[in-house]
Amino acid sequence: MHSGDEDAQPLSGLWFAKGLRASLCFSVLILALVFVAFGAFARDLGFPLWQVVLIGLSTWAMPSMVIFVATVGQGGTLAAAAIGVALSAVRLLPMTIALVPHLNTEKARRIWFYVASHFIAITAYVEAILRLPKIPPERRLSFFLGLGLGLILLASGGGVIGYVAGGAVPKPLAAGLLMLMPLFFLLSMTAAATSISDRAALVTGFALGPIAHLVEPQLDLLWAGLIGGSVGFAVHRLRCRRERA
Amino acid sequence: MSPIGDGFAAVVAILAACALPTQVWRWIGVAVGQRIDADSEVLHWVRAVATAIIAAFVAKVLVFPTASLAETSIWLRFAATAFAVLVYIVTGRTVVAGVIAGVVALLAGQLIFT
Repeated sequence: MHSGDEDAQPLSGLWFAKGLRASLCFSVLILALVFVAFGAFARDLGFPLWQVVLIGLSTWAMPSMVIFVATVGQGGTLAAAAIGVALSAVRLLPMTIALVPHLNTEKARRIWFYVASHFIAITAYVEAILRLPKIPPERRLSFFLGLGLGLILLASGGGVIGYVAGGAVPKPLAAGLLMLMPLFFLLSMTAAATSISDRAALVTGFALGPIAHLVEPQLDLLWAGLIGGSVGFAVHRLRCRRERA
Repeated sequence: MSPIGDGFAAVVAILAACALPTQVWRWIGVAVGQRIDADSEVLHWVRAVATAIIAAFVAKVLVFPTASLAETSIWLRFAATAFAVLVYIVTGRTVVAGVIAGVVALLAGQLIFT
């Protein structure tokens, strides 16, 4: 547990640089392509380039960005956009709670954990879960800060390209672009799910996603996550009990 | 003309209605996460919830897609996903190979069936 900043150590420049270099990976390519699509979409709705870049850098969560741009772009109020964004971004809460204890092994000033949290989104979460076990525990925060910064800068570059190129992507190819992200999330989460609770949660969450969307379209992911995650946890508890018995 | 105007008013609109409602959850997550031990049982549950959310997101996109993905058939999307998983397994759990195979399958399917 972190009580204060008195035992804080400076961050490691070397591991920050290693994190930056690690951001040059397959997932950033996918992310950049998704940002290309977002840039073109926002341009069609009348947003100037600097606003598209500011939205990407300040928010860094694709569903929030799409909801904001689509809501106000189609004549909705700022309040309506803010509510939609807040509801969709609840999913970042369990992701952040799950990731922070793995970064907390580095004794750094507390402010750096809040800076690091800015980078948490599905892609950074997946990359971190896959890579952090191979990073020395006392250097994980420095590494993650580099990784996150690299991802956000490279992906934002994709957004600029999409904006400038706007609408030049042929339709069948655009469908392929949109298919990249779900496939990448599915396979990398399968690779990252090593515990029995994660595997059971993956299967249950997948089955519940579309059903939850029909029942409660605003909080669908949260409900599917809470139920799927609890099923996964229950499977894990049952196994623990059987092994002890 | 931008839907949120120009200059300072637009910056405030973006920060207040897009960035802040997103960041709040991350900040709460840091405050809570710093009180949790890395090998505690609670973390097992939180991690399972995060995993299920991502899986649910994938399934939702496949069943209720948006934009140009909505113009493909649901069977094609699931066939491409199944092919991606198959290639992922056959190549010894290689994520890149699976993703590329799935996208290629979707593009090929569009060419064949339309």
